[in-house]
Amino acid sequence: MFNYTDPVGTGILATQNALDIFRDLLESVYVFATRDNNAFEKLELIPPASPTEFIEWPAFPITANQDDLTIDSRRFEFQDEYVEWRVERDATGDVSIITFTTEFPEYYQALAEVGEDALFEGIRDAIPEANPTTAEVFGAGFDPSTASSQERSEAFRSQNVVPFPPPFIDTVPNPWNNNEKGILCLAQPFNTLGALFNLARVCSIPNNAIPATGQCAAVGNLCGENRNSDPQICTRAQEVAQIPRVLSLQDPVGVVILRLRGTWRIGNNVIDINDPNANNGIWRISRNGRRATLRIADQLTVNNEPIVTGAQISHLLDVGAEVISAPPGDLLPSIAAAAASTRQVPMSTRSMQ
Amino acid sequence: MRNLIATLVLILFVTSNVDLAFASQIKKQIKGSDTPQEMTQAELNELNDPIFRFFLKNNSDQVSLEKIEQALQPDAAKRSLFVVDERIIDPTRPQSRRAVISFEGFRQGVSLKGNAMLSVIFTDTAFRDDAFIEGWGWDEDSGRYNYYRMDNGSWKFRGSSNDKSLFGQEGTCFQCHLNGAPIMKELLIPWNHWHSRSSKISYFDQLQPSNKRWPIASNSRFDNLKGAAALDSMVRSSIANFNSVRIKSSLKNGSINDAKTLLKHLFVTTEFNMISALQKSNLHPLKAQPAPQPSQPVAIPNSFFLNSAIIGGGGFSGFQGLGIDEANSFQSTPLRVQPAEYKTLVQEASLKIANQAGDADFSWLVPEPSDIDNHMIEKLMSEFVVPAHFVAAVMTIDLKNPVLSEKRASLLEFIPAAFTVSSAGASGNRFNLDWFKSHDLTKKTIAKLEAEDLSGNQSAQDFLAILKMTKGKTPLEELQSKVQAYASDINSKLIGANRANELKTLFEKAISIRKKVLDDDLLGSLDETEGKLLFPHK
Repeated sequence: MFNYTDPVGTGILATQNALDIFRDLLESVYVFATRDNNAFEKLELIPPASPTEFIEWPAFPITANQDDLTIDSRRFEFQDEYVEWRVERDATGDVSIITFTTEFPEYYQALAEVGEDALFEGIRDAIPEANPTTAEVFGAGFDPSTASSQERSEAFRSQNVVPFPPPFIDTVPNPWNNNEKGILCLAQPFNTLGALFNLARVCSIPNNAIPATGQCAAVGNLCGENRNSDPQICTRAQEVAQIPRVLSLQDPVGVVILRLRGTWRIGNNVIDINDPNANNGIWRISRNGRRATLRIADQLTVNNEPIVTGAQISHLLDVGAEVISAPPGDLLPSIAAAAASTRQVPMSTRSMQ
Repeated sequence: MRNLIATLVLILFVTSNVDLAFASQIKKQIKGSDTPQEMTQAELNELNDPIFRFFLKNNSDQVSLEKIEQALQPDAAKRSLFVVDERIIDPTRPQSRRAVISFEGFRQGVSLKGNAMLSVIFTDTAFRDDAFIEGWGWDEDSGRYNYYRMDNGSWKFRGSSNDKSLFGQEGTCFQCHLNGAPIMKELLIPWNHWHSRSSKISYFDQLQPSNKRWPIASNSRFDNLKGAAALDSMVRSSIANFNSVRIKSSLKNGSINDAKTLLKHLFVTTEFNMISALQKSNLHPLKAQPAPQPSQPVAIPNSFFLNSAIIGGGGFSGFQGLGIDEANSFQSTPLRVQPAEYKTLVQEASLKIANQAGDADFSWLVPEPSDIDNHMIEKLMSEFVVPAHFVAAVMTIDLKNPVLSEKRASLLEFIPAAFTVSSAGASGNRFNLDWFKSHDLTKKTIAKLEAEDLSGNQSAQDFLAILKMTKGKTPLEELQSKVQAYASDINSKLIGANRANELKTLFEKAISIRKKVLDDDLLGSLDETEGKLLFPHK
């Protein structure tokens, strides 16, 4: 098995003895994605020095067709570009902090499998001020001390992720992840690790009969063809497959918060919002690019406009998934596989069409 | 001592004249046909954008692209390359393409991002900075864009955005930069004609084998090849800043004193952008990998039907707008054009592009209201200079023609030259009706309309009636009911038995709008392909 690294880079998985569990989880999705005679390969077969690239897209949910305030307030319904956010307002109703996350819940599920304490450590690592209760993270009446690791994992998911498939329950009970007290990880039903790998899987089946840009439509509900994210991932996977090259989702796997676009000012002074040494702490990307906060400083504007919603910023926020690729002839010899992973990751779709 | 002073004076004299000697190598040439003229020191002193400050002031004898790139931003990783061409999807060689180079970072406290850009030609094998280099730079202090061009071995200053009398003049930079600001015709996704995330150009892809790649893709500039989305963002930021500065400089002592200039953007299509469906047509004749029709149903852009960015708000532009949701309702699944239908439309219209039968790379490519116009409209509302109800009244006139409406344009004459602005009455709500009724712009416009004989001028009569709310509806309600009726009409026609005919009517309208824009004396200048490649045509 590839030594998948902790995606958020803080070391909590290792210190809480959850790293092997998480690796096992990832192994299951990587193996799943290599099915179907496609160009997707496991990472250990691709020379580590092979070229990598970010497939990028803006965080704005292009299919929402709603005003920005609505997109902000209906996170689980509309924020479907593998980025979700929480907007905090001050006493006057002005935006004070916007927090973005691209973390998959599987990270916390791995911690949940270890136990409640491990999970709480992980939550506090992401939200330092958090003081979650058992009922909040696992659900009322759940006893994590007597439950199995799998039951804890599933209970966490039930409390923190909108279930899939439908009927959707448009609510996430855990206040530390439903924006009431905080935002922890992706919860929207299409923003799942399984959906991402499913997308990479089908889109890397070489289909030379059609232009690469047509692959998203060709794979049906595994690709949300009108989104910002899916067509980029799908088209690029197909382009690479048609060259032909083999590809994989680079380690540490996930969607990375890359940069903010636009002209940012404090008063009349232009600032480099993406330079942490020069932005007065206004924009801080943490957890290996899986979390970011924008603190609305006094007189902060973007493109000469005050910041009034999270969706406004999502228009300007670039995120991406990193892929690695190599010519098929450069593949490394495969090593005898260890026992197959028994982890279960829901392999969902990206739309319900 | 006297010798020392004399020496110092001599040194100072020589130094200042050395500076003057270098700077004076840049000449002024407003029109391409003008003889380049020496610039006076006073004219040179007015130039304070990054291109002049960090390059032309002391290096105007340097004419290579590399020199100016190094001077503006020595760190190559902070330069980005963008590529555009009306033939961009054609991989055959030899060909040339247009490149835009942008810069990031700070130089001496001056931000480069969105404040300096270069444009140059390259071929499949080399950058051709020997042909020309064009550039613009933004001077934040004086609030103006300066334009430059290097050709025939020397640099010229080609005018600034303060020279409004040049706007639209043939042979000047302002023949295309019609408002003095940067332009990117294909603003907003999918950026037809650009290398972008919607259309990655394979022959620039460094992962492709060498026989499928242009040699130029190995040039180090291509290490920083970016998609059009990043340039879109910078250009819109630049436009936003430009408009903000213009409003600020117009607003003096609580009054807008050049109302017709600012409000022209509300009534007149001063520039156009190009929008299309997100779906490729697969019918471009130059396409390397042909397919018989679009791969998926085609969603006609909302802005083909009306000015959705302002009337609806939201969407790609992110403007608040007027919040009429139905303005963004033309892309629902039942309204989408099926692939076979779209192919039929293109074939029956006998469309051509590049002198061959076919369509643009992306389906339903049409002109739309420009970002510079819409941003100004949005900014005038968000700054509480113009009430939203006033904007709604204008948008109601000739609603179904979002681009080049003579009816709306004719109403500009009724706008006062100046009006007072008081945002207090709005109480922070652009839709405040009392504020609209009592607004100086509203009152003066009504007065001008009532002072004229409007018989025979239906648009003016309608405009007056809406402003005065003679039908008992606010302008926003009036607009909303018209939009709802329009959306309902389109819906029923496209869902009904007459769908094929209605699609044909709409498609003919798209062709007609393209022709109207290309035939326009001012807007037509933005087509550099003599009508052959910018839009598909009959």
